[in-house]
Amino acid sequence: MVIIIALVLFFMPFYWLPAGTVDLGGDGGRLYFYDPIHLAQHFGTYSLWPQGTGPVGAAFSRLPFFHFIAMMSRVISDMHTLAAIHSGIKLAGGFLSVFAIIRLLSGGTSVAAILGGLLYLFNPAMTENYIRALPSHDQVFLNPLMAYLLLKFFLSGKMRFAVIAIGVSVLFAHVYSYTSAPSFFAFYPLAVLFAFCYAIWIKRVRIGWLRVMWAMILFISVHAFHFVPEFFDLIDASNRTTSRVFNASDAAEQLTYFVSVLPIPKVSLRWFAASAWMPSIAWSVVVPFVIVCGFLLARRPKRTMTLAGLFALVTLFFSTAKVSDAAVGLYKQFFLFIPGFSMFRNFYGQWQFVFFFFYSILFSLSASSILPRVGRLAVGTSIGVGLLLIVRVIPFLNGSLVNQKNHLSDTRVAIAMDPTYTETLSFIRTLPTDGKILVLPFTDCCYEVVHGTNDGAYVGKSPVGYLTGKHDFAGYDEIMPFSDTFWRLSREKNYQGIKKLLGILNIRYVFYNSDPRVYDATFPSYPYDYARKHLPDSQEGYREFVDRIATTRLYSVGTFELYETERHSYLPLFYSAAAVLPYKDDPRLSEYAKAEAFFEIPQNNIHDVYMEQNDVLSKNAVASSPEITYHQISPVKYKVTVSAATEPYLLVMLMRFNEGWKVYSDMVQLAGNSHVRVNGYANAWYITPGATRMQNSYELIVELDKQRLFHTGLAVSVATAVVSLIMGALVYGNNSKNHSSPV
Amino acid sequence: MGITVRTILHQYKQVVLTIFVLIVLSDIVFFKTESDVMLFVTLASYVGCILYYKLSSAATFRLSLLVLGVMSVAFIATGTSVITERAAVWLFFLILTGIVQQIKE
Repeated sequence: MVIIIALVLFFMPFYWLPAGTVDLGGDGGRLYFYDPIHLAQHFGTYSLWPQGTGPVGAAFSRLPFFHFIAMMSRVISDMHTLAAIHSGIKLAGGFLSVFAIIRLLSGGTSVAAILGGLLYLFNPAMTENYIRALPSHDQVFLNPLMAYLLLKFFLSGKMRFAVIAIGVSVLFAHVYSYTSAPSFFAFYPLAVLFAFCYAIWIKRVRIGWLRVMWAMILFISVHAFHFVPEFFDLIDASNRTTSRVFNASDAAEQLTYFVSVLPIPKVSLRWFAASAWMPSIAWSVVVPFVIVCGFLLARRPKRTMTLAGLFALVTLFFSTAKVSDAAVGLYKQFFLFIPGFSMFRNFYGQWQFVFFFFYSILFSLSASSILPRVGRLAVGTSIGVGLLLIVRVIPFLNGSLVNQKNHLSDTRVAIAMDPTYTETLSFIRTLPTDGKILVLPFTDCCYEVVHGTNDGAYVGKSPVGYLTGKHDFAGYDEIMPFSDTFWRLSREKNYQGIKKLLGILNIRYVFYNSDPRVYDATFPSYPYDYARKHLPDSQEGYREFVDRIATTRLYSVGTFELYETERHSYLPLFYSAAAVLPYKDDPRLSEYAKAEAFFEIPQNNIHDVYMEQNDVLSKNAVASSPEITYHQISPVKYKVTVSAATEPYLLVMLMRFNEGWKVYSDMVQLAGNSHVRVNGYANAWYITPGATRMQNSYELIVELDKQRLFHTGLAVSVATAVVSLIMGALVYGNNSKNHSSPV
Repeated sequence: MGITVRTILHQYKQVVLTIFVLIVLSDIVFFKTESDVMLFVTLASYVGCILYYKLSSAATFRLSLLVLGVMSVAFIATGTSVITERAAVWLFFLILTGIVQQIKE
């Protein structure tokens, strides 16, 4: 029965979306179903994000999963099938894991465990987030699977359960990265505490602390490939996530956000495990009735139920906050006084997965108390409750919840990707390494809209940046500190100003999708609500806009066009500054408008750079402007050739300023104390002849040293994996010998 | 005087407990308040009754069942209204109280 249910759950997602289509969009960007090979190559492998000016940050945790999908795609080329298998694993894996946990905890009937598994899968948290699923959504099956392995490990002391858990965790390392920190810290501390309490208090098992320690060391070591760079990212004060989570004033801002979303979760809906979209929602009342009756009808107080009940109530508090005004007040104090707690600003969404995990266990344990007491009615009762749990979520089962329309558009989220778009991305990969890309139509945030060959459209992170190795600007967020400047220049139709802006940003190409189905009436608002007020509000207007800011058309297939900007206003990635133009920053300007402090200061030469006058280097005259050429070794390492450098000069690199970018000559770091920010965002180093041993012509290496953290971590991970495999083989070999030896 | 009060409390145990039930139901249905004072004073008094009358967790869970019934009716009739949410909060604290009693038992 259990296997049949699991198989049904596994194959169900195959029928959610039309064949040949897949939901790729949203913040998470499920582009790994579209092109996992290039995604792994261009996104997960370097300490550099592909959008905009190249913010430094680690995304290595996604590499194992990307490579796994890439490997699978060589066997299963259809992305619809791949995505369906992924969803099927979440459903079947989640069900089987919860079933196994409940059988382990209660040793009771399979029926109660099945009901618990069904409640776990068919609650709002687990059903509402398959559409545009974030990477952390894998917790649907990972949470119960890991909880089961944790319990087995604590109870049996056998390392193989820890090793299996760690092996699975590597494949889904993105769930254990700091971008998924809220879901990790919401679940695992409580899961470990639950397993610990169950082992000590209920089963009275002695926990092998040495083995626990070894398992933790093994976990940390094998995840070092992303833990090490992420740790250094976290302690970088300029990191936005770090600031938002650990900075006191930013934490207070997150508290304001928390208060604003406080009305959203309802305590009663948590009790009923229900959501407004469920038909026959009234039947949801059976869920808490089973729980309370379970407490009442238990022949004697069951410690396991007590324990599960406690954890369910704690997580109910964390997922709603509103169990009294005092509870809300306490929650607010957590934001102010617990470092890092502000990561839970979206508390109701982040904690609901944990709540429903413990709630499902409690429900099942209660059911296992009730069923023996109802005698002959047990079968009918079980079937009745099971049907009620299933009928409530028919829109989920038949795919209606997943096969939806894009926000404020008649297009569907399920897209059959246009092959001409794929062809266009292939062309973009052949472009020279120098030069970033402006993506039009421009969006409010960072999205690109691509219409499919069906009635679907992709609305998500720009594939131009993620899949081609080029940096692109697709929205307002990505063009800062020039965001407001770009808006203003566009409104004023100041095309010369726009060309200057594109040059400062190293934008050499304009990618334009002229398809009216990605703009105009098909997307009348989102994701262009604000962009429309400043940029052309129709594709017809964009045609003129593109013609005015770009010159040469390099490519045109279908509705996809690629242009090159004017050569004389374009600045290469590396160049030497002609002069320094100091300016005074206006602290009232937001980070999106900082460029307004200097942009209108006239330049004599496009190689003149803007520098904040507080910077001591702004007072140093740039004495010369040597010839600079460069060659890309990798996206995080460049060889720069300098010629005729007889005087001090300012070497400029048009990537987002980060102290991790360093300049070396013959493996010696140069200009460590004169690394400055120019043009509001870029890197520059003041290099003197003395630093280069009075040579006029030489080669420099400009490298992002944070990439070395990944290499170090990777070495630790690989070494740990190899040693573990050898030790595992030896232990297995010894065990086999012991079993086969005659007594 | 003290002995008289204790005798009265023992003699009228069912009345006292009924009053508590009525206070809880009134807080949910009629007062429609979100005041913590009412909630915690009543809850503290109920805990006092548990200690005084040595009530079992079953009594608390029976009260929970009653509150759950009110919450369910309110949910079906009015959705996630103030009454439904208030009942949900009471259910939380009653089940918590019952669980703590079970641990002691």
